[in-house]
Amino acid sequence: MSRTGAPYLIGWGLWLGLLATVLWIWTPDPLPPALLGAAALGSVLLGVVALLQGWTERSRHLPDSSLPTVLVAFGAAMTLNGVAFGIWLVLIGGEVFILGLALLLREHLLARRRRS
Amino acid sequence: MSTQTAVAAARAPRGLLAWVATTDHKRIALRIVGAALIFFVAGGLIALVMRSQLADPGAQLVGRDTYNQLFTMHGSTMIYLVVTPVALALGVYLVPLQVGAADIAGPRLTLFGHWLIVAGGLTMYSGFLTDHGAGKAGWTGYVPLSASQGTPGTGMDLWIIGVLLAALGSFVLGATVLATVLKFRAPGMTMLRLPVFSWTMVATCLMVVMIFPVLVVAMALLLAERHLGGVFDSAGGPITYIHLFWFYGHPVVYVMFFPFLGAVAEVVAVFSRKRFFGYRPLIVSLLIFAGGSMSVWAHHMFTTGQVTNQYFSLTSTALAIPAGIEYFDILGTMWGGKISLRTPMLFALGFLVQFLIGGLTGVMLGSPPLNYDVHGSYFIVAHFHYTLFAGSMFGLFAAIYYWFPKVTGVFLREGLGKLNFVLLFVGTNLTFFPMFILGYDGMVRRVATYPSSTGFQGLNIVSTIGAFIIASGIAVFLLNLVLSLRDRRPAGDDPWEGHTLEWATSSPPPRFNFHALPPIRSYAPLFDLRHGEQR
Amino acid sequence: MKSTQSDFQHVASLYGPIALAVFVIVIGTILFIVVRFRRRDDELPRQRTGWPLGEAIYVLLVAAIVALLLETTFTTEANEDKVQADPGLRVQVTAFQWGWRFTYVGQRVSVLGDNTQPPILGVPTNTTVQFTGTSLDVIHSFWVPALRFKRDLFPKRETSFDLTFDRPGLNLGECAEFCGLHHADMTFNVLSLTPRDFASWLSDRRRPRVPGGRRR
Repeated sequence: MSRTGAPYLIGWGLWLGLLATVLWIWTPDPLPPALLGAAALGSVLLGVVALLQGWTERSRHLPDSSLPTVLVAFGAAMTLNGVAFGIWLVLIGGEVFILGLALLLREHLLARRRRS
Repeated sequence: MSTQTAVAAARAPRGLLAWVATTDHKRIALRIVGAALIFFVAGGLIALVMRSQLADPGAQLVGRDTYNQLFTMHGSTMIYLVVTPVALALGVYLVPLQVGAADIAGPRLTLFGHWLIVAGGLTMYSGFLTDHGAGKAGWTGYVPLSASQGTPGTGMDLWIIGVLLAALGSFVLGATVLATVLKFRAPGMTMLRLPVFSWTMVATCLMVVMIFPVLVVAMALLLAERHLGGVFDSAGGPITYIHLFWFYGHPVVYVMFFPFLGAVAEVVAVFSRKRFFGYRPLIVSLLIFAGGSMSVWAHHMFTTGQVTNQYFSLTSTALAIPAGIEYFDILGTMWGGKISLRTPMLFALGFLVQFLIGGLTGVMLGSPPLNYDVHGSYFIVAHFHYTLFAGSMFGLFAAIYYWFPKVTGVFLREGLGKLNFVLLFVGTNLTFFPMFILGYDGMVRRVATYPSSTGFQGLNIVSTIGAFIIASGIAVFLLNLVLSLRDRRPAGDDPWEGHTLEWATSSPPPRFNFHALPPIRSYAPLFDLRHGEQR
Repeated sequence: MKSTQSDFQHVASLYGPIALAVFVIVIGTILFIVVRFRRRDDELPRQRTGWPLGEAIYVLLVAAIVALLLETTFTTEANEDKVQADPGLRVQVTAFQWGWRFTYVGQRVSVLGDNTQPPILGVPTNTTVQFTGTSLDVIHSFWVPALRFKRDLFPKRETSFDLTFDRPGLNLGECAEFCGLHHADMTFNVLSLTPRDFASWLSDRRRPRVPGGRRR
C-alpha cells in the first residue's frame, strides 16, 4: 500500500502541522496559523485518500485529442471574463462551458463503447 | 511495461485538432513551453523598455501610467505565465518518463490546465486594449491600490481574472504531475528510487496543490471587492489580503526553483559520471525545505509592523540548512567525478554560482533589522532576479540543453550554446548586481523615473547595458533553436549516458513512452544497466 | 539612546562577512572541483554515494551559523521595535496619494507637501522622535534610507516607531511601497537640526496656517 507514497504526504502534512502549531502559539493573529494549518490538514487528507485508494490497476480509454476539454477551458475563461465585460459574455461562456462538458461526456461514453 | 494500459483511438488526428487538443503529455508539455516562450519574449521586451527608460533620469520614453502597467505586466508575465508554467511543464513532460509510466494521470486535465494558463495570459494582456490600460498595481496587486477606487478601469479586472485563470491552470498541472508520481510508477520504481528531478517535482507539486487555491481565493475576493465592495474595507482588510497573497507568493518562489534544482542535480550527476551523492539526505531535506518554505511568507511583511517578525525570521533563516544540504550533495556529486563542461553543465554551474548570491542575500532579507532598510528597494529587485533569472532561468537552460535531444532527437549546437551561456552570464550580472548597490543607496523599486540629483544614473546605465546583453543571449538561443531544428544533427536515444528512465526509450519517445523498461533497482537504473549495480 | 543606523550596522557587520565567506568558500570549491576533476579519460570514476558523518557535521555547522545570526537579529530587532513612553518629540505622519503631512503633536505645527512640492520634515538631533503614522488611501511606506529604517503606513490603522537623528543635515525620505501614478515622486526631505535650531525652525512655522511645505 505504501507504494502510493501516502506516508510521504502524511509526513509532510505533519511537518506543516508542527510549524503551524508553533506559529499558533507565537502569534496573536489567527489568520496565519489557520492558513498553514489548513495546508497541513489538506496534505494529511491527501495522504489518507492516497492510502485508501491504494494502487489501482485499471485500463484507460483515451482519445488522441480532446477538443471538448479545450471548449471547457475557454468556456470557463469566457464566463470569468464576463465579470469584466458584462452578463452577455457570462451567458455565452456558460453555454460554451456546458457544451464542452456535454461533448466530454460523449467522448467518454464513445471511448468506453469502443473498448467493450 | 507500466501498470495501466492505454487504449488509443484508432485514428490518429492530424492538423489543427491535434495541435490544440492533443492528450499526449509530451506534446502538451511542449505546448506549455511554447506558450511560455512567447510570453517570455513579451515580458522580456517590456523589461527592455523599462531599462531604456531608467537609463536616463527624468526620461519620458513612456509615461508614468504606462510604466506602471509595464512593470506590473513584466512581473505578472514572468511569474504567472512563464516560470511557473515552464517549471510544471518540465514535470508534465519528464515525470511520466522518469517513473516509467505510459502516460500522465489525467491527460485531459493537463490539457485543460494548459489552455487555462493561455486564456489567463490573453486576458491579462487584453487589458492593454482597454481605456485605462492593463493592470497597474504590481504583480502583487495589494489592496486598496488594486480596489476600484485605487485603480479604476477594466484592465485591472482583466488582470485579476487572468491571474485567477492562470492560477487554476497551474493548480491543475501540479495535481496531475503529483498524481502521476503517486499512482503511475512502474513496477520496481519505489518512492526511494525516484530520480532526484522527480522528487523535486513531488515537493513542487505538493506546494502547488496547497497554495494555488489560496491565490484563487485571493483573486476572487479582490474581484468581489471591486464589484461589490466591502470585502477588504475594514482596518484589517489590507493585511488580510497581503497574508493570502504571500501565503501563495512565497512558496511559489520555490515552485519556480525546485524543478530547476532537480534538473541541475541530474545534469551534474550525468556530466560528472557519478551517481547522485547523498540521495536520501537530499530527499529528506527537500521535503523539510518545501514544508519550511510554506511557513516563511510573512518575511515579505516585516515592515508592516503587523506580523510576528521573529517566527518568520526564524523559519526564513533556518531554510539555509536544507538549502545548504542541497549544495553539499550537488558538490559532493561533482567531487571525484569526471566532469565534462558541455553547455548543460555550464548552465548548471552558472545556476549554482548565481543562485548562491540570491540565497545569501535572501538570508540577509530574513533579518528584520536589515529588511527594514532594503525592503521595497532595488536591493529586493536584485535579490529575486538572482534567484529567479540568474538561478531558475539558468537551471531552465541547463534543462533545455540537456533534454533537447530527448525531446527532438537532435542536438542543440554546442558553439552557439556556449555563446548563449557567456552572453547570459555576463548580461545577468551586469544587469542585476548594480541593483544591490542602488537599493542600498536608496533607490525605491517600481519607480517610473528618478531625479538626476540622486546619482543613480551610472549604475542604471550599467544595468541597462546588461539587459541588452541578456536580450542578445536570448536571441542567440532562439537562433540556436532554429538552426539546430533545421540541421537536425541526430543525437540518438541516450547521447549523454543518462541515468534515468527517459533515456531508455527512443528520442522522441513514442506515444505511450516505452516499448520495454529495464529493471529498476536504484534511482539510476540506466547507470546500473551500463556499469553494474552498486555493491 | 537607540539608533536605527547602528542597529543596521551591527547586524550587517555580522551577516555581510559571513555571506562573503560562504560565497568565497563555495565558489572556490566549485572552481577547484571543475579544474581538478575535469574529464580526461573514459574510465568510470569511483562511485561514492554518501558521506553521512561529513554531512551531519556540515549540517551542525550551518545550524550553528544560523543560530548565531538569529541571536543577533532577535536582540537587535527587539531594541529597534521598542517605542518609548515619553519621547522627546511626537510627530503624526499622514501619507496620501502622493504626499505627506507631518503634524508636530502639541506644537500647533503641521507641514504638508506633495509630489510637486515635497515637504520638509524638521527634526531635532539626538532626541527620540516618535512617529505615529497612517494613510488616507492606499498603503504607503515611510523610508529614510540614511536611517536604514522604514515602516509601512496602512489606511484606518496607526503604527508607531521611534527614530533618532544623530547629526545635522539634509536627508532624503521616500515612499517605499508602490502607491500608484506618482509613487516615484512621493518624497520628502528630512532636515535634522540641533535642538536649538530646531526650536526656532518650529516656532517659525507655528503661527501661519499656510502649509509649511510651501515655505523654503
